[in-house]
Amino acid sequence: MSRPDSATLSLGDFEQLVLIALLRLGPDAYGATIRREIEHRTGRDLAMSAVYVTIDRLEAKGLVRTRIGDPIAERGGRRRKHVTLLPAGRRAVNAAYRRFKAMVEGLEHRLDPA
Amino acid sequence: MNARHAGHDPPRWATRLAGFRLPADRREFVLGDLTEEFKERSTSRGRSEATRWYWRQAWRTALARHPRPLGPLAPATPPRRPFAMPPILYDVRYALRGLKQQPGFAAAAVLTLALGIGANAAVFRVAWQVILKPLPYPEPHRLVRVWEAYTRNGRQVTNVVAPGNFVDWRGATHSFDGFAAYNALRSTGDLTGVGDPAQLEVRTVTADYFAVFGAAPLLGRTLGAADAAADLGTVVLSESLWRQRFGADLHIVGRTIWLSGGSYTVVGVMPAAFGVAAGPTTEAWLPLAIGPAEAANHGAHYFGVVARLKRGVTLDQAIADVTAAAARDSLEFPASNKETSATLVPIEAERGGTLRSAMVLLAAAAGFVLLIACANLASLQLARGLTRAREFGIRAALGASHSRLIVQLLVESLVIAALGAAAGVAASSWILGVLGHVAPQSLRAGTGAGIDGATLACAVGLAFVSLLLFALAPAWRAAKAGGRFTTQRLTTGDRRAAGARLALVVGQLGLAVMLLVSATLLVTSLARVIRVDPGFDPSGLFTFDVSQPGTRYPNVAARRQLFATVLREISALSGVSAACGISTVPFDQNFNMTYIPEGQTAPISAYPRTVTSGCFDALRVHLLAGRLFTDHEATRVGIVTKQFARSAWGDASPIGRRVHVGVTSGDLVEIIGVVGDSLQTSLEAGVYPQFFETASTANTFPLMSVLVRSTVPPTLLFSGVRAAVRRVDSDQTVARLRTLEDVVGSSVSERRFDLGLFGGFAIIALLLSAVGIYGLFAHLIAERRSEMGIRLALGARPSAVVGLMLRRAWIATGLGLATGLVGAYATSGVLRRFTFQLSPTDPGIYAGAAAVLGTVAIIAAWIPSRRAARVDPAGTLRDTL
Repeated sequence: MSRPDSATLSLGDFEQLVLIALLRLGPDAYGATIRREIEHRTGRDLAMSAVYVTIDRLEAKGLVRTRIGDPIAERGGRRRKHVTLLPAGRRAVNAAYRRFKAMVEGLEHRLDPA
Repeated sequence: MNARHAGHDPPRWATRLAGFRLPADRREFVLGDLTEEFKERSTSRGRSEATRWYWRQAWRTALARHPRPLGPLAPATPPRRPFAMPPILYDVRYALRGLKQQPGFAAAAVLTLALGIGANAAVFRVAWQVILKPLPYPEPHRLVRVWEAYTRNGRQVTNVVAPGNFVDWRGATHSFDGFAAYNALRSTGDLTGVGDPAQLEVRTVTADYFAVFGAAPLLGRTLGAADAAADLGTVVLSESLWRQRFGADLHIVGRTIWLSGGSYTVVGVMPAAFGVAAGPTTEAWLPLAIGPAEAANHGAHYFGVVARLKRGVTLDQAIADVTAAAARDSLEFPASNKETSATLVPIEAERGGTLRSAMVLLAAAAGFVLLIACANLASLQLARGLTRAREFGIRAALGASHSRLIVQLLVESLVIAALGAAAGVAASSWILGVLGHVAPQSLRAGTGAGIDGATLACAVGLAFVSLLLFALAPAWRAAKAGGRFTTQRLTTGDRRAAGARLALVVGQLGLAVMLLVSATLLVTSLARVIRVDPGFDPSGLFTFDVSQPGTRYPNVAARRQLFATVLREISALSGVSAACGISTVPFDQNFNMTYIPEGQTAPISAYPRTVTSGCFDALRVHLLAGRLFTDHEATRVGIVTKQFARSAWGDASPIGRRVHVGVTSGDLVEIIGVVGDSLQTSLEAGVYPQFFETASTANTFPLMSVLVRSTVPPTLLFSGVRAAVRRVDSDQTVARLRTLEDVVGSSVSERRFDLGLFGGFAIIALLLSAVGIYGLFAHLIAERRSEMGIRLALGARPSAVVGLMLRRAWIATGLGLATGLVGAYATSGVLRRFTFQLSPTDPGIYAGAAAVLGTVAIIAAWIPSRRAARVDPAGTLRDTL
């Protein structure tokens, strides 16, 4: 079975944000930290459930892997779902970044609204 | 709960809100993350801010869509669904949806089936309680009742047993493990010292009575040989008495109770179930000692006898055994026993009494109702199958197999059957609730409004039977027809289906005729029974029992005195025109005595009556010859009824003749008068000879009832009567206070009950048939709309079109009526024992039933047929071509 090349996959805007957050957070990222990272960086107030919709989608695409941890008291005895970026995910972020960079080259002064 | 941690918990309701729409496999992680972040936020930014944030998150989670990725998800474990629906449930759901879309059809089908199942469940419940439920004794098939048997006018009649015969037969037979007797005359005892004085129904029984039934006591022991022999004053109580009067006292055994002034020691309590065949209304059992005089008494018959067959002995062998014993007695005591033989009836077969045969009739009637209901349903299903042919055609074309379609139709029918069964059980409960008011005493237990497991099982079973009857063929047809109709347009309808439905209508009309004929026969019979003149005038008469406990009224003189005082007190009440004492009130429990006219040998069986003077006037029984009793007769004198006089002396005058009471050696009583015959057991039984003696000279003074004729409605006097009796003796009970009209009325209560059920069934059958016919013709006409349209377009007169449709109705009705009348005639023999002074083949009744049903049928067909004439020719042609 052939998996579609991660480089050719088109990533949605939010998928890109999650992948980049994973890149930053390292191997033990999970829902709450991802959400907070994105909110912190972009100022977007996200619904927690939206993060999971995206994580599931990324996992389905073979870009991330999830692992379920142990029950934790502060979470009311609930477990964490840890998310790890896979090499394919890293390539996909890279490809997206490259495309983005290639496209915006020379336009930086016109794009920054600040 | 730890307060510090509690303060950090997120709002519970927000968690619920967030959780309820989250996919199960995501819920734990999302809620965990939210909780974690809530806690972090409440420490960093304050609790209220965190709470606001949390609620916002909860709302967004609740309102958001939670799509699943479409990509190649490869879960480690197969997806767990909380509830995987078996395929049949899809059909059930589909069927329910279909029924909801056609509420008219659904209601008609369920209601029809509910009536059919309800009728059967009601009959079953009564039959179960009265006949079918296993008797609560070990090996009940070995229990028999022993009767004296005589041949009268070529028919065998049975009677209770004379004590002498009982003693002889018990000694002479070898087929029984136990042979026990009880005094079959109603006997009572006044219970005092426990609350208000109360009259108990008491049964005196021989030593092995309990052993014959093989029943174990609830508490203590039963009565044994020693109890009667030593006259220990022991008593066994019924469970209901023990519960009601003694508060279910577990230490009752050994306690002393006072019965009619005598003290008795309670030795045991019998469970309620014991009474079923051993005294259903008995509240206390006392030992019965048979003294030498009683053991030699072959003339008075008042022993009920029960026996238990030895293992391996057949009923026929036992009958031969007891008949041989009876034959020896008839040689030895020709005066009393010349014609007396004996017979045995299994207690199981005797259960339900006269009701047994009625149950068969009622079960048949209920079965007919169910058949008619099923015919209607089958017809409905056939019609529906045709209208749904297109649907099935499409589904078959899409690849649904023949069997798949059949299964689906059957599941639809199953749903209807299940709903029908549920509604039917409710209906049966209602039917019995209504009929409970008219049910005879013997049936009350079977007519409670509750529902038992057996009835429920019966309803479910019936639902399945009806499912087979109404669903299988239509399902097969409709599914098979599926492929054909998708493109074909109907013009003249499906002939074969129409033929099948016509046959169903003929069948159900036939059944309805049979039911209607039977119901009419029963109604007419009841009307005739009620009009029977009992020979006395029950209107304005009432009666009650006065007990005469031996301890306070030890001899005949004391009892006579008590009675005289009571009668005087009651006569003094305003509204009372006459009061007297009588040993047996008409229609109450009877036993007979043997009388032998002086100089003759043939005994005459008659009901003995002891009366005070004035009873004939109170009863309005007319004197035909001689004179009535006076208050002070010098010698022992008697009065006989006309029938007695005729069988003893033919047309000769009986006045001045003498009669031996009991046996030829018995006392001689001189006849002073002849009175008219009157009915003594029921309105239907015919007259029986009676022999009256006056209480002032009879050498015994039996338990007496008081008979009062009032000039006002009797119930107005009841409280005055109670007070009057209490004035005479404050410990005296007034028991079984009732009007004679009620007594007479209750003798036809079984007939009323049968008729109530049967008449109800007949009306249901009539309605169902009418609905069936209406439905058939409505559908036939809808189906042949285009044909009618073409006929009208080509110039047919509307009336001719209606006539065309009605011709079929005439044929179907005619065939149905003919079938029904033939069926009713063929089965009329079954009804013979239920009709009264009426032939079960009475042509007037047959004609009447046929006319009613024929009219209903034609009207039911005519209503939809009118629609055929109103078909719009142009519209139909447009649709058809």
